[in-house]
Amino acid sequence: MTQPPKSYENVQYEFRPAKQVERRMLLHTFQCLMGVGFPISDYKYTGLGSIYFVDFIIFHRYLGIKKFLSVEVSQDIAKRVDFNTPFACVDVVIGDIAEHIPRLSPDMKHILWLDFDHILTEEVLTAVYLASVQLSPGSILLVTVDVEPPGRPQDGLTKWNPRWWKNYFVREARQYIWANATPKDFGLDSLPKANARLIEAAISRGMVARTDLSFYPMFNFVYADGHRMLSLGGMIGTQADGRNLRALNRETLYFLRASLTTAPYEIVVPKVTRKERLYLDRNMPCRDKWTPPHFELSWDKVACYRSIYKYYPAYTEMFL
Amino acid sequence: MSVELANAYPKKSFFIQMFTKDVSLEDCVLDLLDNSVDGLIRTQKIKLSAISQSIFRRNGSAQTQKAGVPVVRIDYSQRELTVHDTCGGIDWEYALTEAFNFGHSRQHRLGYLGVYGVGLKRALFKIGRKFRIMSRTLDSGFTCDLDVDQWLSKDDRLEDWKIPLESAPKAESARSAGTVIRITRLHEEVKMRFRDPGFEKQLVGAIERTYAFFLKEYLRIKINGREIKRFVIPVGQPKGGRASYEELKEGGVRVRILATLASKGEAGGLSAESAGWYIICNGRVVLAADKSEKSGWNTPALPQFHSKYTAFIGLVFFESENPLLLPWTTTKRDLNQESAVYLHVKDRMGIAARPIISFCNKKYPADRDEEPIEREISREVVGVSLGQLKSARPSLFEAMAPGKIKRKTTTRVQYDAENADLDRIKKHLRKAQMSANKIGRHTFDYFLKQEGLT
Repeated sequence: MTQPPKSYENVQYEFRPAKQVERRMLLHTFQCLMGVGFPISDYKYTGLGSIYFVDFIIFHRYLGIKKFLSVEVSQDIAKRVDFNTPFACVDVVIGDIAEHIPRLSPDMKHILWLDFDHILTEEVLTAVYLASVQLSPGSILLVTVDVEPPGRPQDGLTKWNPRWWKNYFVREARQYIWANATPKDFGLDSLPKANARLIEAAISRGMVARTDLSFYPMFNFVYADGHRMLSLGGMIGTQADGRNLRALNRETLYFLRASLTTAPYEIVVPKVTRKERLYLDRNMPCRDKWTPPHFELSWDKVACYRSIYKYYPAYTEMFL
Repeated sequence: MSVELANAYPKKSFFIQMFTKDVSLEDCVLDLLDNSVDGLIRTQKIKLSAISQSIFRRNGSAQTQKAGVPVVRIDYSQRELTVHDTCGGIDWEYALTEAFNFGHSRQHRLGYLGVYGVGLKRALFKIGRKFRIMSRTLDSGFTCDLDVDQWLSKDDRLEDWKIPLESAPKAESARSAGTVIRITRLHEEVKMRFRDPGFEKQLVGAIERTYAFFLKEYLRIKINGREIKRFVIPVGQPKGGRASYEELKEGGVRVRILATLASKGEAGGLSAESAGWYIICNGRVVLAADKSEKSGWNTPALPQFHSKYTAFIGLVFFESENPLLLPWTTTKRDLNQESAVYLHVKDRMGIAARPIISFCNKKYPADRDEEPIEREISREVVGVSLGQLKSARPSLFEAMAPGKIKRKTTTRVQYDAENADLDRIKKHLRKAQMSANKIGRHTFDYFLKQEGLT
């Protein structure tokens, strides 16, 4: 089955605005977690750093995390990954993430971001399952996958339809697929939910024997800087951890979600010019139904902007 | 309204038919052997719940036969089956109050292989219609003769369930203390199995695996005069590497998980037959070389077993003073997969196995030209003892000490060339004896030099 090309070759990572909004929302949440008793700066962050390490840089600078591990699957770019390592405290290993999750110390709390740039595969679900078995209480698990359909439209309608897509997921996720799955469950609009159900099932399977712990859902983002992406996450924790999580201010962190499979938070970044943005910012937070009087921008777009402006990155071109 | 009590008594014939139905003849012989081992435990004060400590201490292998080890002799024919052991015997008091009960009483002493209190009786009734048990300890002795048909015919009250015992002289020495069980008037299906020449092989295979950690060290077993060899689980370790090892306590059960690479056998190869998981409860091997879903293969924890995983060996020791807490079935030859202890441990087994699975996968890369370093490491796996694989802290499998793995920098280049072209090159170079290999090397070097790539 054709996988989308590797995103590091396609997209300059820093310039994926929706992805960057997501990172900043995560950052904000982690900062708030520190406020309710989770010592995030002592956590170990493990991610799939690729060659950009954007998340590593943010979490070191703004959370004070000092223990990092980046797992890169491709031996072909081993030197590039090593060259681009941003800080001395970032360790890099080349290999399969499923091989390294069992090595995450049970004596330490972790943030593990399985930030895949391709569609759901058996390997993704194995990694999610292993993380759910291995991560110590208080750890945070995040999973990102591409939720575009498997295959390509140019393969023709015989391969570009929900029946074909369902067969793909039945094959890749045979351990987790629900009973009586139908092609309708895998229609274009249903794919984010179908992916979420499978990831949730892998987490639940990993938690079966951890009777003293629960998985507390926190993140359920969908966004698209090109491909539609789904990011799910939450904390593996004790009842006490659950109580501390309830102390988070849900009005401030309005994008948090208590379910992995219903009502995701959609990150939509409206395309506005720099000048428009400065004007919008001057009026933020705005009242409902407000629209800018000096240029055409619908309330829908203003509302999207209002919900992400605090996390929206600013880009400038620099001539060196 | 008057209240009266309805009869709810067990009926002998139903009981005997029901509880012998689902058990195999091999399992019954193993139950008779458990009875002998329990004699040993009573007299030699063996602490089953810590037997893995002893296994790891003596490095998991008793290469030489210890002197004076008790012997259990099992002989069978078309007329009878006898089990004769010198394992210390069953004392009079225990026989009178406990040994013949169907199920243990609440006061039953813990720490034996016997778990549910049904194995010995189930074996006796399954095999024949008449039996005689003679047992002598250093303090007492008894004889029990039972004609099963006669015993079954009287079934009016609970008192009819009692089995007559006759006291007998005690043993004169520790070496003569033991039990003799003789079962006659064999059931027709048992005689049929005994006639099958393959039965003995199956039985021997089951015994050598089930008692792998008892044989040589604690007892010897002979079947029809032939001594049973101890099955040695071929655990290995790559040079400079280490095994996955974890100890945990779960629901009153102590668990040790060990996963590693297999060592090569005498013939110099790996055996798919011995690969897989070994589950050991209080020293008794419950599952041997398992490659099924029972031990996590083809579940989220592990992929489906494949010949490329032939190098995988995993062992899990479950130990508890209370054998009811262990995840075994009543036959003790299978796992109770609904056991909460086992469900938890199964996930940990997957964690322990995962680096070895990745290692095995890397031995067979998609690009076949490349000889992966993992194959080289596999060639240098040496046979070790369990004690050598244990670590003080939890560890995960490493093929080599971190930092010492040097990836290969060469790739084998292979292609077909026309013989006529090869001959032309030989002629051109005036080297008629030049091998195809050397021509390949020469032309490759020539290209690099001509293109200024060297």
